[in-house]
Amino acid sequence: MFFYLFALVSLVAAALAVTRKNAVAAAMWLVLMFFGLAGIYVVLEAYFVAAVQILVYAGAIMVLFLFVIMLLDLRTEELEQRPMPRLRALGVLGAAAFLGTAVFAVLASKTALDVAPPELEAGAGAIGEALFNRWILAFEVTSFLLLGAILGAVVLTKKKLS
Amino acid sequence: MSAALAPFLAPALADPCVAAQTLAALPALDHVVLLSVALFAVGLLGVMSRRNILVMLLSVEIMLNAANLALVAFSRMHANLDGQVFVFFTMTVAAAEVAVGLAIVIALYRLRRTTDVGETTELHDVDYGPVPVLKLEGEAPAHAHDALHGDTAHDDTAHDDTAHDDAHDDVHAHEAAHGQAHGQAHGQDHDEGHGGHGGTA
Repeated sequence: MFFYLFALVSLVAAALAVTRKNAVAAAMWLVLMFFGLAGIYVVLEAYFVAAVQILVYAGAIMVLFLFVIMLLDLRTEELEQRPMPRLRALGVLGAAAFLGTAVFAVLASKTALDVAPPELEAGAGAIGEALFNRWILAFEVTSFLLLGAILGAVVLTKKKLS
Repeated sequence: MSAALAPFLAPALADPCVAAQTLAALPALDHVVLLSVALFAVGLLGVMSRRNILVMLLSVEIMLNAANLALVAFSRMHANLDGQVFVFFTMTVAAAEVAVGLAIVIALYRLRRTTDVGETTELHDVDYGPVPVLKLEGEAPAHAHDALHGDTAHDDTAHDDTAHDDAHDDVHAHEAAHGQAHGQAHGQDHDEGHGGHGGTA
């Protein structure tokens, strides 16, 4: 079963990504997690989402992350980090509480999650049709969101002009 | 597991190429949702227990991806494309969040030389010196008030007080608006050692 292979890969990669001390190593493990998730999307027959996952997440977002991490040159910063055992314990406790609650909710749900789903045409054409008909308003609003993000990023990082 | 997979395996058994179809068969949807939950918990752990703001942003990406996985799984389960359309919106929001978040990280690093969120909690009583002010060219905040009052007397002095911090300029702008302390306040130039509190009217 390809799903369980990809699930194992992405789960292990995510766990390694949040525990690495070096931010570059964490970003690299996260790239592996994105590839694992793309494999799962292929298994789920969401081929276009899988392609966009690789292109946008692994190709654009992680490159942005790596550029910033390498620009800041964080090696010395990482070494100076004081360990905070109480914070770590709180994080583990919170994550475990969420995991327990959510797993219980999934396992206890009365909804039949294992029925055979009907066929679904999920190519780029079908998704484009949905995006530009039913979701056209959300699509346009999203373009304004991106415009705002661009302006915000430029204003925040701009050096003093005068 | 095999009991849950039986509905998927049945059509594959009737087909000649059984092995390939079994390998690529749809997983049980509750297993996908459980994986999504586990990934979200891992991301939550990262946000809560790490103090490097870059790793915290990476963990937020993990959580967003967990939500995307659940969306795709339910989209497949209901044979409805809306879930996959929502994945694209999530990706766009994630890209915007990363762009603004990393811009904030860079601004923070310029100011404090750290990406540790533990170092940035003492904003209220630690004096880090004057904060670099973002100003457009020749557009000091006091200008607007000057224009309102028709007062062009200290146009020449307004250009050289870019070293003042924001709060200081606000005080001056307020005074200018009330028609007192014209000219003399803006000509005063204080250096970094004062920490931005040395000006008098």
